[in-house]
Amino acid sequence: MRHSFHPALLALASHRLKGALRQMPAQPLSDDEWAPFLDDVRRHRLTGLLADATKGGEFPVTSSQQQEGDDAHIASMTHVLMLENFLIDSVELLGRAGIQVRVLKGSAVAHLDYADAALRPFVDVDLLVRSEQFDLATETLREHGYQRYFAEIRPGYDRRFGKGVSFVSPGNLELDLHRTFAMGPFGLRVNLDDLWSSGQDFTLAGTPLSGLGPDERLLHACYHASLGDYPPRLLPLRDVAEMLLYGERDEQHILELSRAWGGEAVVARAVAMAWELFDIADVTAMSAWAARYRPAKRDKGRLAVYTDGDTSYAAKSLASLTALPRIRDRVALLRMVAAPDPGFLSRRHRSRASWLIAGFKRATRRSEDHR
Amino acid sequence: MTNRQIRYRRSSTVLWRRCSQNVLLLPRGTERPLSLSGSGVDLWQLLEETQTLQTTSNLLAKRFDTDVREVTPSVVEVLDQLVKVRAVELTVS
Repeated sequence: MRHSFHPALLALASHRLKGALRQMPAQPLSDDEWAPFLDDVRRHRLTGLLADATKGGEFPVTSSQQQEGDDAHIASMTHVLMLENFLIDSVELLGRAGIQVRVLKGSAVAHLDYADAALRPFVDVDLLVRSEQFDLATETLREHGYQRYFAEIRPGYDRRFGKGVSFVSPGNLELDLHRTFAMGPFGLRVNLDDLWSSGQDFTLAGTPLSGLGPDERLLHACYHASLGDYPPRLLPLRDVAEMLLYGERDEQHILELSRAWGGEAVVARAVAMAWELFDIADVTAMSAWAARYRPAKRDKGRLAVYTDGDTSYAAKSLASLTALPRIRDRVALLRMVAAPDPGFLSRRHRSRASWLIAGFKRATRRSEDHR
Repeated sequence: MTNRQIRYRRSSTVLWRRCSQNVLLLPRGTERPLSLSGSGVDLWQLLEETQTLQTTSNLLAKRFDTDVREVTPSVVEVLDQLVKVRAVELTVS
């Protein structure tokens, strides 16, 4: 896989991973290297790993670099605690409206998958709700002062076709309300009932919460790592490796779900990327499978929709057509995308024409081998 | 005659993280996290289990190789502050 990550950044992202062969630097980075490196550490959410590695002496730093790294970690964890407070408030708010919730990523992964939650920072709250409760959930949040970043394309789009909605709270904290794992074709093919058939409980400040089950949580980590950012962010890839190397997971069940969801290419890409970037020598059933896996041409095209940095929201929406087996759903989606509400357009495009052009321009792509 | 003792432990409703040389705490209902450092971190570790003032002071004095009579006033002060902000709860038994 082609990448431009600093070797020290990859070594840091694989800190404490068993079997990872990346070498930490032998001496502190120069002043010229340190500032951009610390920026990357923040961007890739690795402040916890940096604090741990410098404290233990595995990552050599000067005293001023140590201080800056510690300050970055304190700032990150300060925000994390405020987010967890906000998470509890939001879950309780939705619960009073009768809305069932699963905590995604962030706090759930930190407490359920990492030996020390401080190693795993996050910058927002992610919650999963059922499709049939999605409109009620967005309305409940809106009534309590949470504001959507973007208007809905057309009424009904979020509940039927969307990945989710991002909100900012009255306290200026971000909450992402999810219906599925990703927008576009891979998100639509996830069997949402599977996400609710099991869960794993954890407690925050005495409040019982529920995350996805362990296998579903790994799958979500794979979807997020594969499809979430381009170029990929390192922390989601770390999550994938952490869960596979340390967690109790049924790899056969995970592969069955990914096959049923049409998501094998997504999962294989995430696992292969993690193993390659972190240079992990340890082999699991899934890492061996991912190394051998070759996506079908159609899946390569679907992946390219996500991994091309130019792909617009409109294009991903249109690419969803391939994942809808029913004609009436395809017609409904096309109608919504072809004639979005003016309120939606005003935040994203100059005109309806530019929105449509952006959509058709990148709706299908020739694939590249990103591995 | 009943000998009642005050015991301290971490509040079940406090969010916290160990963070470099500090512990950050955010009791529910508080807006901004508080920070413990130095021996405050050791105190927080001890309060994972329910402790009396005497036990806490003895353990900290031993850890820092100092006289318990020197440590106790500081422990009292920190515990009072942590109880006040609801990071620590006390029970009488």
